[in-house]
Order: sequence, then structure tokens, then C-alpha cells
Amino acid sequence: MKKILYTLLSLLLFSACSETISDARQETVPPQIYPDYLGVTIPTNVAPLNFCMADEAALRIDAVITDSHGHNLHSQGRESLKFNLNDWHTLLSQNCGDSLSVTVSAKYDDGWHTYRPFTIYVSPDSIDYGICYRLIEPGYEVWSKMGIYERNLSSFDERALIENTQFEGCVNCHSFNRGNPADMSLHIRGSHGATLLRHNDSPLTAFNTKTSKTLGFCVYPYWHPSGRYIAYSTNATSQLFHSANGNRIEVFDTASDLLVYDIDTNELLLSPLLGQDSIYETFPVFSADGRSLYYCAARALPEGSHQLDSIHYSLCRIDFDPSTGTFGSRIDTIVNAAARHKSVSFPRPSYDGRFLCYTLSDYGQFSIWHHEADLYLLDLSTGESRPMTGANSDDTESFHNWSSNSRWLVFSSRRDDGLFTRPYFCHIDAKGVVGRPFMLPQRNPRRFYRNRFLSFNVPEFIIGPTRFNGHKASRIINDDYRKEFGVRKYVEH
Amino acid sequence: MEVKKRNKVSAVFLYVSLLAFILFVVYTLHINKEVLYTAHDRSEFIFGAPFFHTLLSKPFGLMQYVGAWLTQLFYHPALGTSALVAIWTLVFLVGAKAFRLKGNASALMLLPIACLLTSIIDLGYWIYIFTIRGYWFSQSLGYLAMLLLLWAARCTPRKWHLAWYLLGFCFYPLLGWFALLFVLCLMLTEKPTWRELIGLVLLVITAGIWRTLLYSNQNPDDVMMAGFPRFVTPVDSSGQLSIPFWVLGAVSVLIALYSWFMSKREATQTKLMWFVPVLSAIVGIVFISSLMFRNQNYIDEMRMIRHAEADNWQEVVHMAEVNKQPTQTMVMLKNIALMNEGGLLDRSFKLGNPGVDIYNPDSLHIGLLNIASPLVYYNYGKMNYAIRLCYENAVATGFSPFYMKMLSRCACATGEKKLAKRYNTLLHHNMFYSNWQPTPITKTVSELQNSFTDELNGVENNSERFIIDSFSHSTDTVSKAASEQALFYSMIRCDSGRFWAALRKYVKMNPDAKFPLHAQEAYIMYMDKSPEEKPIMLPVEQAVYDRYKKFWETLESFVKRGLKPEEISAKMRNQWKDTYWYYNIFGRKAI
Repeated sequence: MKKILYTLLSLLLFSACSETISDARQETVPPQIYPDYLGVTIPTNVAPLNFCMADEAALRIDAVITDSHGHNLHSQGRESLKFNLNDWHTLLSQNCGDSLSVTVSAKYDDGWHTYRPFTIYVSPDSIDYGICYRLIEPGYEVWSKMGIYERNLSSFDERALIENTQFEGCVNCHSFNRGNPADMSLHIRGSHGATLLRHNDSPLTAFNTKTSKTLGFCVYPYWHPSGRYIAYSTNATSQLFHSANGNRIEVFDTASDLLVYDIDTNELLLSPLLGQDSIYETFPVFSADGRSLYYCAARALPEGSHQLDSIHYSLCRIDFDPSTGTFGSRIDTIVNAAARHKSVSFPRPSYDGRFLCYTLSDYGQFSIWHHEADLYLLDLSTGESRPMTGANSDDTESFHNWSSNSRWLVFSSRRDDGLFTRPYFCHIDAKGVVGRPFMLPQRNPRRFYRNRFLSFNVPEFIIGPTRFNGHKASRIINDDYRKEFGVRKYVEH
Repeated sequence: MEVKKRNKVSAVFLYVSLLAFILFVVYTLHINKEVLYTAHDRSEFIFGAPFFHTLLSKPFGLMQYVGAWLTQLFYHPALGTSALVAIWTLVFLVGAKAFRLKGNASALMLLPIACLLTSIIDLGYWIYIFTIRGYWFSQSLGYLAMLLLLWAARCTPRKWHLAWYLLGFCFYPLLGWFALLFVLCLMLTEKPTWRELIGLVLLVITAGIWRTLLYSNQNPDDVMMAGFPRFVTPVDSSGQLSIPFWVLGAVSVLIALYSWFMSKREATQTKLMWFVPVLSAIVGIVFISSLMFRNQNYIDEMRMIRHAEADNWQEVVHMAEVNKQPTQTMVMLKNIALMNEGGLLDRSFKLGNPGVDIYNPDSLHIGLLNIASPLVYYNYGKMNYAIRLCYENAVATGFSPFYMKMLSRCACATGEKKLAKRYNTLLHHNMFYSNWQPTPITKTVSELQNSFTDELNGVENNSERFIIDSFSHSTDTVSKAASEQALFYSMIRCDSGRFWAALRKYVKMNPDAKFPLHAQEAYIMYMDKSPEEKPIMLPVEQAVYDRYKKFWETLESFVKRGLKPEEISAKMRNQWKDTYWYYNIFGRKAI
């Protein structure tokens, strides 16, 4: 009796919330939806791809997802679809390596329209637990509230690691060792400036990374696969504004060097090759085997020159011996972008050692403000680079990072509206074939993305929850104590 | 018979006092209607869950959200004012019940209303830079909610008060400091017992407990006395603007004490009460008058911005004609209006350049940058800077209709359709902007926009100086509008080198145009005092030339008499202030 009552109640509720599609006009084109999920490749464990009609005139939206085994998943909503989380994950797990067909209907003033179905490919490659990013309003010099957040990619759960409401200043440059939050680094700027480090799940320590022998604070961290070293650059950065150009701002270095921090000995390791006055060196990253350091290098501008469009960074490499913490004596140019009057930024080698993804723009190193910036994939076995056409758009693609299994790339793009940065994910198979990317799913994507003036900065994969205690971290930040970085003398070769 | 007569007299005192106070409130709100319109224009309310959740993440956030929503009503100042007056009427009625103020004693509730009114008309230039969301209504709403709680609590038996103290603790996330005020007022309306002792303990620990429980990611200052307005920016702070709220709290406590005191002396109550309404009304009016920010330029500036936003340049010029001592922002807007209406080089100096300093008793770091810079930069075709300034200001103070409208117009001008659509859609969810569409870019603005070559630079704090410098440098132009601006701003800079270059370009770009009056004045002056080696020869009107000679004769005669420059300036002002010469010698000011 109880069961019947519940069923009747459910049916009543369902009928109240859902409309039957009748006399729908059959459209020969696929629907225009927001976010654009047409033909995307997704991992089996991603959160439901809820979406809306791209225009706001739709009164209702309805979608049925079907697979080749006869299963289906239905959702209908006023503004956005809201697929059931469990049913969604069940459907995806039943269709690993297969395609799903999505039939969308939308109700407008003139009635229902049913669109040509589109497909979503479910890759058998899973994606990491989540991503970590900074959310910030895109001010140029002024900032307000910001924070570092972690997001579970299998659901919609977002958690603040730390927000600048807890102290005076700003937060940036969060970094993990191949997504493992046991090794973590985070920068704080402002009157309570510090670099917070956690190594092997040890308690957080606040460091002052500025030394008398280096240019300034350490930035752009990248962990060595062993977890013993962190590569940094130290940059003297300025910014200027374009008076009449599509790219509004130029953020540029007037000097920059590279250094590697040895956690075990609390020393910065320097090399004369990586601290040349005539060269700007930045964005250091270790190779997958930890025996090389890739970075970007450009010929420095003469003092006082503002010919920023003549700064072209190439991708370079230097040997690194993790057993001694010493550098090689030769610099190899891996991608000579300067020769093509282009500029490389954000090199990121895949953890399986197959590829290196980088951003290519017309000049400079702050590619997020360059509309022409695109992603490129360097095949490390052949040395050939090619644009990631499947992932690129007409607008900016910039920062990116690999998942721990090297099959997914998360990257920042401004394709959504040309100003606000959103995280996108694309699949890259063993041969380097790039799948169509999808935007980070949200419960109601229109409300989430269109009603917030927030950009996603530096999306980094994490393989599990960070277990970061923001309360404790803010106490450490607000405390005056900072451990100083030491500096090891050059080892000449 | 005598008691009846006394009661009648008391009632007359009450009603006359109330009427006088109401009339004063209406008058005050009326003269501040431009402030109230600006309140809506510079207050953030974004439709949708993200904005709601952002505010709700702090104690008192719900009040701020409702306050932010209601602030939209100031689009029609009369409508917003009605809502505010309705809330204050309820404050009066509920307050009288909550504090059990009978007869003439109810007039004491005029004092909290005076505090609430003062808090919205004493802001001055803080209106452009303060960051408190929903400020205009949230305090009144919070206070009303506090009084409702107090009324409900006092309607229950004494033994239930402990439950009300606990409820006050529970309501802290909702009511912030008003929850504490509620507990305090309830404690003070009764004879102290162990229950009040518990209430006191709760009062002390409430904020700390809530910070631990729910708001550990918030700045402690934002959780302690949550919702109590603090006027702080990275470079400015004001303790004075918090005075109405301290007084509001203090007055409430005193009324609560008074209520307890009088509850024991029913007999004496009527005898003493006749003066309470008069005194309350007078104190309220004096308090409001003494703290109200009164400055005609402050109001005129707001009105001018409103007309400029609507591209109503005729009205902007009209206001410039009426106002004899405009601020720098008004001068900028006046010059833009003259550019659009015609006559910049014929009328600008007649109407006055440069502006006077704003009335700034708090010494705020404020100027054109915060007041109207995106509007000025947009109309000068400098879209990148207009967008940047919009974002810098909006990140600090909120994405209010003013910034959203400007961003939308800039996005349309730069062809960023997706962004323009996004701003418009958000604005359309705003109560009075459902049909709003950005005014298409005018021919002049478009011409200016296309006349600039790209250069790397930066608008720093002095946004006026940046405009003057960049225009006076842009003599290498093929645009008529830009050549006019280059000539005008070279004159403003009083830079003869740039004047000659700009004049040549202007004459080349406008071969058939009449030689404008102020340009003639500058031409005669620079020919006389700072000629080029190969001067450009242009015909000038004899009357202008004669007047120039007379100007120098007058000036020299004052100099010969040994007068100081300030004295000469004052003596010559009436006769010569409409000329470029007067501006060049006495008027120009370091910007």
C-alpha cells in the first residue's frame, strides 16, 4: 500500500515538473546548446554534462541520452537539464569506449522543436579526482575576494582551500607533484607574503623565498617527480596597457632567472646558464624522468626599451642530475619559436614522457591576454610540433596541465566570451589524437558561468582531495615566522 | 477635567512634532533624490544564485541581499523613498510596541529613524567607493527585524526569555549585530536575574562561536559585530560614518532602559511626557542636519553624470552654464558635451576651465577616476581604458548598473558581441532594465576611437592628466574630431609647442571652418609671447585683437601697482574670466 502511495506521489510530482513533448517540429540541424557539448570526448567518471539552450528564449529543454544497448537517461528542465548523478555515472560506466546519442528538444513560444541528435564519446580513460584552481575577478591591478578552490570532477562539489578573506593579500601559484596533494606549494602575496610548502604530507611550512642572491620571490613552481626538488623562476614583472589593441594588457618581465629548490637541504640550486642577464628565462618544468629541465628563454630587451612585441621565447632544455642537484653545461633549443617570430609559454611535459604541450602566441610570455594564443603539442620522440587543432579556438588558449595518466589535458580558454577564463578538458590518446574538448560541467552552467564575474586561474589536476586545512593555513600566514631559503654555491663544470 | 485637558495638549504636541519630523524627512529625501538615484546606479545586485550565495556566505548576508534587491527601487527615487519610509513607519509602530512606549513616549522612536535616515545621506563621496552591499536598506531592515523579535519576545511570559536569548544567538547569521542588540535590549527591559546573566554571556560569545562554527574562512572583523557598517577601503577609512549606527545602538539601549524605568512609574508618566515629542523631533532634526553631506556640486555632478550616461549633452551644457564653480569631473563632462553639441573651441573657456576641488572633508582619495572615468574615456573613444577602469572600479565596489551599462557600451563599440550580450542579459534581469539596450556608438566617438594608434601606457590615479596629455600629443591624426581635441588640450596644457602643431593640423583638417574664438585668443597670445620661427598666418577678428591688447594693459597696470598675482586674478576675474588668456595666466591648475 505504502509503495503504491509513493509511486502515485512520484508520478504526480513528475507530471507536475515534466511536460510531454507533442507535435514537435523536427529540425534538421543539431541544437545550439550551452556549453557546447556536441561531439565531445568525456571520461567515464565525469560529472553530468548538464546544459541549456544557447539562447534564453527557450521555455523548456528536454534531452534523452541513449546508448547502443538500449539504455537511456532523460532529463527536462525550465532552463537547464539536471541529469541524475547516479544514473549518469551508471550510463557512462556501461558505455566505456562507446558513443552516446543525445536527442534534444526545446520548447519555444511556437511549441516544441526536436533537433538532430548529436553524439558524446565516452573514453575508457578515466580522469583524475578533481582540479584545483584560483577564482578571481578579472581586474587588472585591483583585486577583491579571491581564493584557491578544489572541485571534484565526478560531482559538482567545490570547496575553498583558502580565501583571502582570512588574511590581507592575494593567493596564487598552487602546485602539486603530478597531482598528488601530499606535495603541495602555494604562494601568498601582500603584507603576509609567503610560500607555503607541504612535502610528503608533512605539516605546512611558510617560507620566505627571496634571498640576497636572487632576483626576487620564487614563482611558477614545478615539482620534480621524486618530490625532492621544485623548479622556480624569479621574475621582475611589469604591466602596461594597450591604448587601442584587441589585446588590452601586456604583462612582461624585465629580468628573470631560473632556480631549483632542494627540499632536503633547504637550498636553492643556481646555475650561471640559467641566470644570464642577456636572457629572460622562465616557466621551468622537469621532464617526466626528472633528468631535464625544460623552460622558456628569450633575448632580453635593451634597458628602457618597450618593444614588447620583439620578445620571443623559445623552448629550451638543460640536463639536471637529481642525485647531485647539478645542471648540465649545454642548453638545447627544442622549439625555436623566436626564429618564427612566435613565443612559447607554459611548457608541460606529459608524465608518460611522450608529449610536451605548450602555448604559442605572437610574442611575450603572458599568453592569457593574447587572443591569438593556441595550444601546441610537441612529440618528444620525433621532436615535431603541431597545433592542437581539435582543442584550439578563435580565442585564447593558455595555461594547461596533464592528468596523472597523461590522457587528459585541462586548459584555460577564453572562447566562451573573450574575457573570462574557463577550464576545458580534452582527451589525447597515445598517438596524440586530440578529442573535442568540453567545458567544466556545472549544475546549472548558465547561472554558474554567466552570473559570476570570475575567471578560473591555473587549473591543476589533483588525484585526491587536498585535505588542506585553510584555518590552520591562515594562522600560519598571519604569523610572522618565515623559514628562509638557503642558497648553494655554483658548481662549475 | 484637568487631566483630560493635559492629555489633549500632549496629543497636540505629539502630532505637531510628528508632522514636523515627517515634513523634514520628506524634504531631506527630496533634496537627496539625485543621491538616491546614484545609490541604485552604483549598487550591485546580480540576479541569480551565485550573488545570493556570495552574500549568504557572511553573517547578515541575507539582509544585505534583500537590501541590494530593494536598492533597485531607487531607479525611481520616489519609489525607493516610499519603500524606505514604509520601513521606517513600521519601525516607529513596532518600536513603540516593542519598547512599550505609550502616548507621547512613542515619539522616542523618531530617534532611531533619524539615525537610519542620517546613515544614507551622510555618505558624501563614499557613495562612489564604499563596498558594503545592500547598504541603503539592510540596516533599516535589520533594525525592523530586531524590533519585531523584541515585540514578540516581550509578548511572552518572562520565563521564556531564556529561549529568546538563545534565539537571538541562533539569529546571528541572519541579523548580525542586530541580533546582539535584540538580546541586549531584551535584557535591559526587565529586572536582572540569572536569565539575563546567561543572556549577557551569550552576547559576549555569540560572534566567536559562529565564527568557529560557520565563518572560519572569514576575516574576524567581518564576523564580529557582523553587518555593522565599516567604511574602509585600502586607502581610506572613516569613523564618522559609523556614528549613526553607534547612536542607533545607544538610543535603542536607552529607550529599553527608559521603558523599564517608566514601567514602574505609570503615574508620573503622563505628567512628564508632554516635552518628549518636541525634544525627540528637535534632536532628530538637529542630528540629521548636522551630519548630512550638503554640497551643491556633489548633487550637480551626479545629475550631470546621469545626463551624460543618457547622451543628453544639451542638458549637460545647460548645467555647465548654470554652475559657476564646477568640479573637474563636471568640466570634463562639459567639454565632452561641447564636443558633441559643437562649440568646444568657442565656448569651453567661457563656461570655465579648470574645475574646483570637490568638497572632501574626509580627505578621500577620490577624483574623476572613481566618479565618472569610464564614461569620460568611453566618450573620448578610449575603449581599452574605459573597459579597464570599469573593471578596476567594479572589482572594488561591485558590478552595479553604471559599470554594466558602460561595459556593454564598450563591448558594442569594440565588437565584442558575446560580452555585450552577457552584460545586457544580466542587466535585463534587473528590475528596471528589462528593455535596456546600449545606445549605439556615435559618429564622433567612433571617429575618435579609430583615430588613435596603439601605444603602451597606463592610466594611473590621475586620469584627467592622462587625457590631457594623450590628446595634446595626438596631433598626428586624420580625424577632424581628434584634431579639435588635440588643439583644445594643447591649449589646456598651455603648451605653445603643441599648440602650434595642433593648430596646423586643425586648420588642415578643417579648411573651411570658422576660426574658433578661443583658438583665436590662443593664437594671438602665442603669436605675441611664443611665436614660431615660421609662423602660420591666420586672420583674426579685430575685436578679439583689441580685447587682447586691453587685457594686457589691464594686467600690466595691476602689476605696476605691485599687486600680488592672487589679487590681480580676483580683480580681473569678472571682466576676463571668459577668455583663454585669463585661463592661461590665472586659471590653469596643476592636475
